[in-house]
Amino acid sequence: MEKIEKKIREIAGKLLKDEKVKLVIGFENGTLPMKARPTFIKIQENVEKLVWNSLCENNLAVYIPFYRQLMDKGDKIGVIAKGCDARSLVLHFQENVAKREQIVIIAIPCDGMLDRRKIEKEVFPNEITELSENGDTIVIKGKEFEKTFKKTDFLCDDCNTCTHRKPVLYDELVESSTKESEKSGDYGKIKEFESKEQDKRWKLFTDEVSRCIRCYACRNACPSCYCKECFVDCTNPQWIGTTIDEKTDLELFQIIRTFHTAGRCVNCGSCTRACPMDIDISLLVNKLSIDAKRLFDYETGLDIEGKPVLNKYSEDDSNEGFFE
Amino acid sequence: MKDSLNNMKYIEKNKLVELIKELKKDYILIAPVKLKNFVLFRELKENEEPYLDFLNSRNSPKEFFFPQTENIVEFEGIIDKRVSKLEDIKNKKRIILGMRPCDIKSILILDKLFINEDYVDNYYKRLRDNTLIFGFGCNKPRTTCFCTSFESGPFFKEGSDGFITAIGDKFIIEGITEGGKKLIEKLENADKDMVKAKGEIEKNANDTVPSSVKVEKIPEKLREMFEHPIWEEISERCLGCGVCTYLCPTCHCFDIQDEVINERGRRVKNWDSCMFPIFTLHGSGHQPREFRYQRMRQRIMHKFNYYEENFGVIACCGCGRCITQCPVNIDVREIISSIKNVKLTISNEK
Repeated sequence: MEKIEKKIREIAGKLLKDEKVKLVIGFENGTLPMKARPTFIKIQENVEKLVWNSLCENNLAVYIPFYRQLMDKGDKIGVIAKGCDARSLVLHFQENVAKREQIVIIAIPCDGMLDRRKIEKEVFPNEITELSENGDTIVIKGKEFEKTFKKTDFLCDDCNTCTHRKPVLYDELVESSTKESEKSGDYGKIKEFESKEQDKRWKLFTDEVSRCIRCYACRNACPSCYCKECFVDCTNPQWIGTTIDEKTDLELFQIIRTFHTAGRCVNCGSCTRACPMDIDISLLVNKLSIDAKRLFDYETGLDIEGKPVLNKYSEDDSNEGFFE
Repeated sequence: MKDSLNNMKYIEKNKLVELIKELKKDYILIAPVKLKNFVLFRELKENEEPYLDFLNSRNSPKEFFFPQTENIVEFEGIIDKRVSKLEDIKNKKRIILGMRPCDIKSILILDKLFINEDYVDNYYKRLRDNTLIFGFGCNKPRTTCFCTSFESGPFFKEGSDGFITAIGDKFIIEGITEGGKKLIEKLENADKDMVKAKGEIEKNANDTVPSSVKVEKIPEKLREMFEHPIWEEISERCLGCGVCTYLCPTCHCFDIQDEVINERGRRVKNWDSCMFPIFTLHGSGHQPREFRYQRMRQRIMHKFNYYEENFGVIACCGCGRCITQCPVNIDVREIISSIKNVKLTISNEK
């Protein structure tokens, strides 16, 4: 891990020094024990801030649309990319959010990120004040406890089932001993969900979504959600009601957002992690990713030359309903 | 001390459920409830028990005074003969049980806006008037708590009708207002040892709050900082979601919408957030706060400058929710200290 960190700093420093990029988006230590946070390095001296650990949970591709003006001026951006970040960048290239040559992808094969919520659950309601990791061992500390556990038991669901931990596209690669997940593509959670009766599925969905406070953190943390005007913000016409007491509006928001990301979601799990009400949003989005794979043998963000699955048509396409 | 001794009652923790059952006959009870692995304040459903072994709730209890969605007027009939009516005022009185002192402080902050000499918001006031608040002392402040920076603390009692302190297997309940005292008069009196133990906890409580911010002179300084590069720096990480403002116990911006379906409709007040691109978007299409830095500036200015200038108090209570729940760990304590560290140049000072 320290080796990776050193290498990241070296690459970022060189890119900045040689003026190959205007800034490097990476991770730094935050003010919370269980979170690294996005950071924006603009001068070589600051590369020491860059860190790499199991808390680098954000998908950094989400920031690319904010830098359109900068990129239009001819400046380039370096992005520290995990497997999912790289796939989101590929989607951005496919959809003309950025041009390939505007982004320098500093790829890091990823072992999966820790799920803060799963860890907090272990010691609830106590506060975790310190977390340290050494290989596969994680140690958490609080005022009156200390616990050790295996990292692989506390990964985010989406990291467990991740299909591309090694970034599919890059300019600089930081070598690591990463292996693809043993549960790669095993969407047990979704299969379990699919196997339920329709009314049970609906109840599960509506129960979860009933907690939604419409903060739109799921949308804003999502690299695929970059519409200039989101349908929920459109006032003329107004597509969707504005209250939280009409539960249909909360459900509609999630359903429509899901469809907007169909075949465009890289299953990074950012939506679920961002939700302050612990709604398992990726359960819904993942379902469509599985369908895209099953019906069209398509996975998002793998091929920069290819088109997103819903943007192309072939006579051989499956005629099966997309959402049962 | 003698007087207050009579107002000190206690109840065994495991008897609380019975007390609540009793209170539910006459009151709507709002209390913390455990869901998955977090705690939310909500109206207790039938047979639902409060969960008091918590640090603080994920949501702020402000929603019980300033609901996220609230009908202002309902109307029905065809356009020219439309009948308007105010929503019926709920007569059943409410108790909020277990509210943390930071959150109670936030309500005192909001009172200044919603109930003042120039303007009284009747919707807010009626909810304030029909609610008894039982505060709950914080035995274990979180590392992100900084309530003591805002003339409050883990055992700050202003705004409480009654105040609960957890000691061992008991809750010591202190009656503060007449309403609060009356509600607990049937409980057993606390003995001297209990009162002493309670005093001990309270005495050093402020020292147990691990975090602080220095807000002296921040409002004045911000007045000179509207145009300053710091806003772009601190907002670069911001995703523009509404987590900070919607979980914040003092954020109070709202938007009014008319919803009409056929011959029925309502005028409804919804929470709004300065973090959203649609916030203060003009009908013309002009957006005075187009960029993230302008929206971040609005949030910080509103809390630490505008509100202080208008109402004499900073609109932050140090609960730390915006810090712990921000998806990218934007930390208001750091923002305040960066503002503090800014050296104003002559051009800034004008």
